[in-house]
Amino acid sequence: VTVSASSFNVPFEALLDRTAWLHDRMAKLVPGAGATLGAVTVVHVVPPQHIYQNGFGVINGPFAAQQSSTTPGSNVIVALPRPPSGKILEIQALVKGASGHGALPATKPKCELYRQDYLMTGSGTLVATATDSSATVGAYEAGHVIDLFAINHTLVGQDFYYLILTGESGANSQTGLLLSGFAVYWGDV
Amino acid sequence: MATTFQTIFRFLTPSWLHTGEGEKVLGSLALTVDAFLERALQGLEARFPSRTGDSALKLTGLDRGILRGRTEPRDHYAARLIAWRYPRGHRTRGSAFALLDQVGNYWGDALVYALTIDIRGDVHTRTPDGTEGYFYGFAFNWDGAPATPNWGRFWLGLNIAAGSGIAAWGNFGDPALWHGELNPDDTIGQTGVTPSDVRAMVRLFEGRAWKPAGTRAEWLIVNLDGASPSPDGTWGRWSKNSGGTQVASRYAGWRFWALSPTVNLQAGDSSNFPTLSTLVDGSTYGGDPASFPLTTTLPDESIYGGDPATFPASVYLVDDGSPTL
Repeated sequence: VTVSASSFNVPFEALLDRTAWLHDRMAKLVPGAGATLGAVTVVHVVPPQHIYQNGFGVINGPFAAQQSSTTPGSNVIVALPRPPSGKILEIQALVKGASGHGALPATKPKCELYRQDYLMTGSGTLVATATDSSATVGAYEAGHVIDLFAINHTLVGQDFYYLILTGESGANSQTGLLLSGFAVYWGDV
Repeated sequence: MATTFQTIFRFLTPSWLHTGEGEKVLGSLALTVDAFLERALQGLEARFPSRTGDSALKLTGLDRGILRGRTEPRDHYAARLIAWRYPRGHRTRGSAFALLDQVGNYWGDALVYALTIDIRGDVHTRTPDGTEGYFYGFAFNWDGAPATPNWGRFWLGLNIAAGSGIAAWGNFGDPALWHGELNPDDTIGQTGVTPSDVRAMVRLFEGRAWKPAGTRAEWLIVNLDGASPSPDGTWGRWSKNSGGTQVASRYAGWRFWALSPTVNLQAGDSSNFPTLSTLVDGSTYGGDPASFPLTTTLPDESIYGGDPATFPASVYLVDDGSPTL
């Protein structure tokens, strides 16, 4: 076999194909992974298994939480399971306002991400926060997300992470806000 | 011998002025004047290819976008530089024959003929003596992509003459392969071609490009054996899966130079998982799951273990015109 560029490119292309094949399969095995070649993104839906709740009740077993009081500060705190390393790219709180609002509540729901060092040497550190951005009652009362966008937070050591969803309050507020979970986007780079 | 001030001042002055110290003074002045005169003369002649030297021809050629052939005589090149835009040259730039004229003059008698072929199978040819020909509708399915919207693609072909010194290298393991070691003067795919030759062909399509506007030169095909197989739609890549084994997709008797870098950019095909692959020596190998080497030796004998922090989306492959080092 006389040597040419084909001699080298045939096995090299075979390697490229097998690498691409593996990447593709990995992306399919891990839900939400592989949206971008080179950066693996994993989406993990976290049910609101709260570690603390104030003004929220649980419905449908552990799979949803519902606001039961419009007292300002009503909230639910949810522990965030985390992988050993990587980044938190984005978190979306999956919420749905109760029907019957005459107008948007004066204080709309808010989602916060906190980090707590595992030795509990201090209070939690706020990592990211976002307020419900619904612009109309229709959008608010439909299923929507409160988006903590572009967090890109590198996980710290063995620290714990938790989420706080604070419910609606003030004028035009009412009970029944449904929190069905959090979509958490992890990344490796 | 041309008349110079150095020779003539002896006839224009009395003897006491061109002998002894007078000769030294006048001779020095005459030498300086002769140097100025020669510089003016050469400067004037530099713009006339038929009267100037190689260094000026090179600059004129660069300026006029006319390549000098590998073995092209000075007078022949000078004549082409004079005719740089009439009756052919840049006046017909954008046509297949204008391109073939440049290609043919570069390679000279090393070719039986040069040709262009586009995605529709329209072929134009030119022999070293300047004879031109064409025929249309040749069956040419390079990569299976439809002619629309990929219509603006064409290929350049060199049909190499026997005895030109351009031929296939030996087999893997041949001590004469690449003259025994990797070096920057050999090209991977063939003997008798330097990276400068390949670069000269690529340059034809850069800047003042010898091609129609809106088209892209894909590959230069070096026909070493005179055969004329038709591409079967799999030649867009170097390899294809044949019954689970990755094998060469292109005809082995030809060599391929990428005229556009993007045509040799590969990202891998996730739909293809070959069980075996053909190796450089023609054997096949499918990997060994029991072996996970931490490093590997590269062709230049360096050791590399990969970088987990980088995951390139694609890679430029080598082609037959790439230097071996």
